[in-house]
Amino acid sequence: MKSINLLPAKQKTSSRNPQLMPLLLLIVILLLGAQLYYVLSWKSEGSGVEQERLRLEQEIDQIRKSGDLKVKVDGYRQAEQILAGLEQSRIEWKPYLKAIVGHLPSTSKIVTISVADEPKVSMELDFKTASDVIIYMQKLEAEEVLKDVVLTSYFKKVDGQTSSEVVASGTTGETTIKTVRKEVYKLMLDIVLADAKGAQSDGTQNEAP
Amino acid sequence: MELKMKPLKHSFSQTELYYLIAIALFVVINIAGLFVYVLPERDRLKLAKQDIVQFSSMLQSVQNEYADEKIPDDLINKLTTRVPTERVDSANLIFFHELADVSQAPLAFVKQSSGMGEEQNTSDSSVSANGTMTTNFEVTVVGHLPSLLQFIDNLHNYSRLYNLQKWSMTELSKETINQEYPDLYSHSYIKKDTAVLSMNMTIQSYVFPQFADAFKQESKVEELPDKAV
Repeated sequence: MKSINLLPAKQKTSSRNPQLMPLLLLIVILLLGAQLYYVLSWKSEGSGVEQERLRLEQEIDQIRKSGDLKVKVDGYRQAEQILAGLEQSRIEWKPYLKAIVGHLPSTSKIVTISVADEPKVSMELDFKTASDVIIYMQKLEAEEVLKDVVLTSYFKKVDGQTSSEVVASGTTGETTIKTVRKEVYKLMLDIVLADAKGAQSDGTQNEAP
Repeated sequence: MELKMKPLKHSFSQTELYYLIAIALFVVINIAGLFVYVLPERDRLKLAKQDIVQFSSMLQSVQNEYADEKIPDDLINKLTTRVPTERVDSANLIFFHELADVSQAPLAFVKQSSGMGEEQNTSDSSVSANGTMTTNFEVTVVGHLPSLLQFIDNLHNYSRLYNLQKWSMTELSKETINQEYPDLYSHSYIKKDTAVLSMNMTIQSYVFPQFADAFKQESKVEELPDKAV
């Protein structure tokens, strides 16, 4: 009896592509090569990126080291300006006071000297003689730092009080004690200051005697 | 009839076997390389690039925030000595006392009064449009004329900025001295035979609270991000 083989026909060895295996091997080798290429390429790129990062970091540090925060610098400049304005608005009284007080005779008396908001000095003074008053006023008028010396009032005031004075009598050199009324020459002045800022530079010219 | 159910043997040649082993080996190496080197390297690069973006943005922000000049600390100190950024009332009182001692014009009275009209007043000080706080003090000192003049001069030349706005001098009678300043002659520099005057002053002191934060910015510098690569 004749046997029948129902199994699929045996593939012939020759039917397999003989280049398949080498091709597959080549592909996996190429894949490995590609991986190596990318790793090296990314490493190289990473190194460049690291350099860039270091450069940026250095630049940031450099900016921070070489400068201050703008808010601080701007604040300082603004504060300087405000300060300059405040300094400018101040009056240096020394030169004016030297001019006003420096010419006062030793026998005079300050009742009041006052300065309100305006750059104007109001004074009430007592003098012993009328000539002292006139000399004092002339000296004030000659002062450059004082713009206007305005006489408000001037009068002789005799107190009810008396004082004792030793006076010479006759040619023999004898002295007697005389009771006299206390009298003063009152002077009231308003003095306008020439230029509050200019006075600072002129101040050295007005030395008190 | 006899049926043969045995499959036919599929045999590889030795060369094919070598190829298969080599392919399998390279596949394993490929997979290992992918997870051990390639993917981590790609992630590192990605993070490094993110860092660059962050640093670039920080550089931009630093360039915007920082000026190209530096204000030395001594200049800041000098300015804040001239006009402090914080209000400290005791400093004013200490100053008036010291000034009175140095000028030989004893301090008689100190009062804090309100500021000027146009400005925004608080209880005892005012803040101008530019943020400067002004405090007015009414101060009275007594002494001989040269001492009072010295007080005015010292006040003007003090390291902190004060403005003598208004003042008045009045000669004091013996009775007034005895009543109001009975211990005045206890000071060795006050002489009984010389006229004693009282000087009332309105003195302004200034504070710059608007610059307090700006002058303290040094400590608030933003930290650099951590290195990712």
